[in-house]
Amino acid sequence: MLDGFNPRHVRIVGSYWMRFSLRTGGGLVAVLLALVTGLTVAQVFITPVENVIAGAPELGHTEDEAIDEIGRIAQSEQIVNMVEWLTGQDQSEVEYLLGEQPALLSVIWLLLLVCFPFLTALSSFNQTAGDIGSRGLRYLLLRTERANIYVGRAIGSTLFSLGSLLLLIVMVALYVGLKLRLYSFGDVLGSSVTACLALVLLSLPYIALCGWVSAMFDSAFAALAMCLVAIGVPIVFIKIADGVSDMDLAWMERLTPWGWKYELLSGDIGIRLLACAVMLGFTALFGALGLMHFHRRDL
Amino acid sequence: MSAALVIDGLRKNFGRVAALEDVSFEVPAGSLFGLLGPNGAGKTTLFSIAAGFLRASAGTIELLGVDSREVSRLHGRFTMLPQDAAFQGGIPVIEQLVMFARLNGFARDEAEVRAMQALELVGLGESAKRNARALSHGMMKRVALCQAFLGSPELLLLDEPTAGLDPENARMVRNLVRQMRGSRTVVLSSHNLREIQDLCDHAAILHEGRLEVCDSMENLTSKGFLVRITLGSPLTDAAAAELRAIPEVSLLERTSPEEFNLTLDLASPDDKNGVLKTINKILIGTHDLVPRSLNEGASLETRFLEITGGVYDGSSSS
Repeated sequence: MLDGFNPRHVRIVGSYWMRFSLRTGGGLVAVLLALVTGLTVAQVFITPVENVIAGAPELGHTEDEAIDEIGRIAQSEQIVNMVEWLTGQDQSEVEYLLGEQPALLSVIWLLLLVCFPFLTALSSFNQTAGDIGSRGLRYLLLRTERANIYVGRAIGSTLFSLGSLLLLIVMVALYVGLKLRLYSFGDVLGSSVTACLALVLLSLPYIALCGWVSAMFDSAFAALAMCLVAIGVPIVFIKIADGVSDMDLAWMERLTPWGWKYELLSGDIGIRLLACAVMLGFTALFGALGLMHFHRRDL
Repeated sequence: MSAALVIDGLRKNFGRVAALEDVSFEVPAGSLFGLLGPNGAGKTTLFSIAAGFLRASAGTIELLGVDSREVSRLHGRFTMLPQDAAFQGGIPVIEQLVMFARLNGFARDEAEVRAMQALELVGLGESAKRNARALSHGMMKRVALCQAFLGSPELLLLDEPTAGLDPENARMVRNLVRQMRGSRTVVLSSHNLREIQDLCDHAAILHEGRLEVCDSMENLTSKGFLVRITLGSPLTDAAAAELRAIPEVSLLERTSPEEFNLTLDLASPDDKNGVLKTINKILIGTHDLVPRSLNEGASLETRFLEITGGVYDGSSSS
């Protein structure tokens, strides 16, 4: 299946694919959607904090007192319970995220972890499907192995997602770090780097999954719909099954990358490494299945 | 003569439909080879399997000694004009050709030069920076041809290279193909039988997914040589019977009382004159029937129709 694998060809295919995607508009839309969604999520949490700081003088408080108050609210029982409910993590993990890490950023990263698999689908659904339909891959197939096309486009997709992700995180981190000045620069940087790695690692299996789905269809629209179904339906199914069943079925989430995403931000380095390994394992599995399918099918 | 393309027991099914059934033949190296067949005969499917686009259900194709599933290993030694592949819309054609040239193994600078040369070869040098979407159908066809001429391919498969081109550009393509005789192996499909007869030295005819015949053009045309005769008076039954009795005459068809077609199976093209003399002797000498006109040729068409049982109107092709 990897016979004829050629890193030079992978690089050429990947770089031209990224360039062509941006210029034909599809890639640009994906980047903009990722930025808009990410910044909207960030805005939901940043605006109330800004309001508290801005309104402090009217209430006779200094800015420092307002920041202390925000810190107390972030660790209040309601917020802790909300994060516990969202992540299903134990209390020590929640305390790590809200106490030891910059709480505002942690909450933003947690919500981005929820959104990112779906945003990844928008940038990765058309790795091959559209070109299979238009037979645009045929000129490439005359010149390079299928594996080089498949891997080149998967890498192009990853770099694409990485680019929009970095842009998003840098914007949020700069805003929180420089404008709000709630946390020290070191804390913001550390949290942002961790989040960036977590989001990249979470994106990888979903890019591979979308590549597999994309290789199954001859239509970009069908591929997009099926990517969203492949990402969303198992989660919804497990949630419903867990809700209606007497048995605890939440463990089934562990059979998908979704079930490991919060561990990527864990305070326990061992758990974090395990989550990283799981993400890479899912990536390898989906990547191999997709490549196998692409290798066999008519193009 | 060694074979540039070897097809062995090839079969392809699309669901329950068999597009190709046990097709085997060889294309001699350095030849111009015509692949003929009516619509749906399996020509494009065969090309697509050869190029690795489609997977064969059974059998193999070897191109320059390499299995078609690993065809990209030929790195520019083999290329093809696919019938229905698309270029990226919204991207200048030169950039796409540079990418193909780079995948053929050229460094970026060399790839740019090669791409430009190929565009100029098909008369599109001035359109290099135009978006693929902004080009007409005929121009896109020439860009597609241009990618097939990138580098120095030893084996080219051209699927209907002149379809959709105006007469001038069709002639240019035919001249380009003709120039490759002896130095490269070219397999081309076309519905224009005169074009194939004019260009090719070998041909194969597919019909309903099966190989009906594969031979040199000389043998193919000698076996189906057509003579159209118009007489000054109606052909008599006695004369018709005598004409049918000529060993080389395989078919006599009356198209009107005065007109008829004779299909000749000649052991060698050199036998043609002898048979024509015999025909004239029977008509003029024995039955006093003077031919007003005698046209010969279109023999590939005859052979094609004999095999496929179809109706071909050569006038519709450019």
